[in-house]
Amino acid sequence: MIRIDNVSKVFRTSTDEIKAVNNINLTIEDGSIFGIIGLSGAGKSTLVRCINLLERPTAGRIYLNEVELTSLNPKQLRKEREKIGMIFQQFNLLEQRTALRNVCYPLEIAGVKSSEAKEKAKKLLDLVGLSDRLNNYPSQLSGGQKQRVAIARALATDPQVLLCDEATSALDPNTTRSILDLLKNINEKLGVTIVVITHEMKVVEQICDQVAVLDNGMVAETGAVKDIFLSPKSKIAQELIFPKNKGIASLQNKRILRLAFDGQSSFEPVISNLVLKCQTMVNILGASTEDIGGKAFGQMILQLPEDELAIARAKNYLDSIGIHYEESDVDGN
Amino acid sequence: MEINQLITLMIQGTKETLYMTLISTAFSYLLGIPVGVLLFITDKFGIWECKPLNAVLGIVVNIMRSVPFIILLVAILPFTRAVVGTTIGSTATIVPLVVAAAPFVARMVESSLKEVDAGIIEAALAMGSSPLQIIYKVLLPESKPSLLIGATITTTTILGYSAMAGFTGGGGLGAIAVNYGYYRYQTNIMFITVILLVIVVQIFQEIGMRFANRTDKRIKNL
Repeated sequence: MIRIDNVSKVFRTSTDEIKAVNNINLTIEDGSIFGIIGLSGAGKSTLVRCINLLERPTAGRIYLNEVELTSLNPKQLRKEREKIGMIFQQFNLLEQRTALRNVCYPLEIAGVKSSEAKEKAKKLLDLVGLSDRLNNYPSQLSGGQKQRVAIARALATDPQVLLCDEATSALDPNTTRSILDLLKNINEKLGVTIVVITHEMKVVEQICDQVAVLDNGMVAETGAVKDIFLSPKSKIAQELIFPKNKGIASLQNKRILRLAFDGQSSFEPVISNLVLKCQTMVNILGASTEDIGGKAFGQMILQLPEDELAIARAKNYLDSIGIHYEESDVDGN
Repeated sequence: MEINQLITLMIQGTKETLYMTLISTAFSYLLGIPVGVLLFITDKFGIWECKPLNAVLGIVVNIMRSVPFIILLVAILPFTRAVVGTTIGSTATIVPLVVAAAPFVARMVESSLKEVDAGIIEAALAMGSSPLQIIYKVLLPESKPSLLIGATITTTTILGYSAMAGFTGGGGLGAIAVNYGYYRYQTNIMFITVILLVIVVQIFQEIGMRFANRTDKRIKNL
């Protein structure tokens, strides 16, 4: 378990004081995938760097399983850091080492014998699907492959936690998906707690159980992804979930339904059925859905006629097939 | 001068030049690498940030680099005598060469280390590396190609300095050029030494660059 207790981080420049992280309290349970989402400058990268003390908080405490990291001396901290793996947006692999020797690095510095380190590194590269790339240098690998090497490297010391700092932001959508699948797989197989920093709601939807929405260095909202995705309360969460909502809703004086797909079968023709069964017209105002392994993720914004009966029927139908929805009023809230 | 004598003279000169240059380069690196690493790690946001030490080192290095070599050569003659027992000949020239080149090497090393991506250092820290492990396993290996290019530049610079030492009784091709070409107006001999110096520089440059490129794993298809 990671406990972030009243943590603040202030950057001082000669003229200015910037509160990047402002009094944050969070608890991240063992074995969960925890998302931290926010726009650029919200303080999410600083916050995740506070967890392994790459940034030392100016106030507050960080606990990893009741060990207070903020109170350790440098040597003790280095030992604890072996329990916290980290991957980055720019991969940060050692350019002059092969994939295999990159994965060996954390084992070398932990004092593991070179033959054992190599064995373990091979197993990990196999786990991330790169067993045929052991002797390639980072310059010979694609972005997705580099991130896989970075994941294998982060897992080398059997960490309890894996911190992902915008790990998929430099990757294309397909590669992003496969890296997220890999992370989910690692979470399930190895029970590693994963903390995901991102600015993309899609990433959170796809793999996270819990999420904290950051705004201006503070937690605007936190809870289960499902709850926040269905009914975001804070303004920033609403913006992140349906960025264009305001424009769409104010366009028409009609009833707007926002449908949220979080893993229902993508084979079901939901909209056709809605039209046929409820005998109503629907207009799709906006949609961003994705099919991930036969499951639908994302959302759709529907416009329905101003007819209470038809709307009730539509809601009934959506309830019956288990699709979450939310009615937005004309102001776009 | 007979042709045989001339050839013997030139071979002797080239040997001395190589001896001075290579030994001086080696000693300069022995001193310059630790200082360069210290300059880098004690700098702002370095892995061992220490502003006072960084400032002092920086000033000392700058002062030593400001003194023109020919002045330094003469100024440290007592020191040279204390170290090697004499002030003339190739071995005596090595002392001022090292004193002049070490601060230069320190700056070259520092600038090579600065090329290492800060993200890589951050990742190494996140994995629990100690400062010493970062120096030996990250900074130096990652900047190896750039260090080798720096070493090539340093070697040719030292070669140039060593020729200057001909004026104060140093050995090598520089001394031949000064003694025959400058003092005796034997322009042809001076000309030959210059050509030999050019060839030596070309060879150093070529070997250095090949070595640097071959070790650089950032270049694809190698």
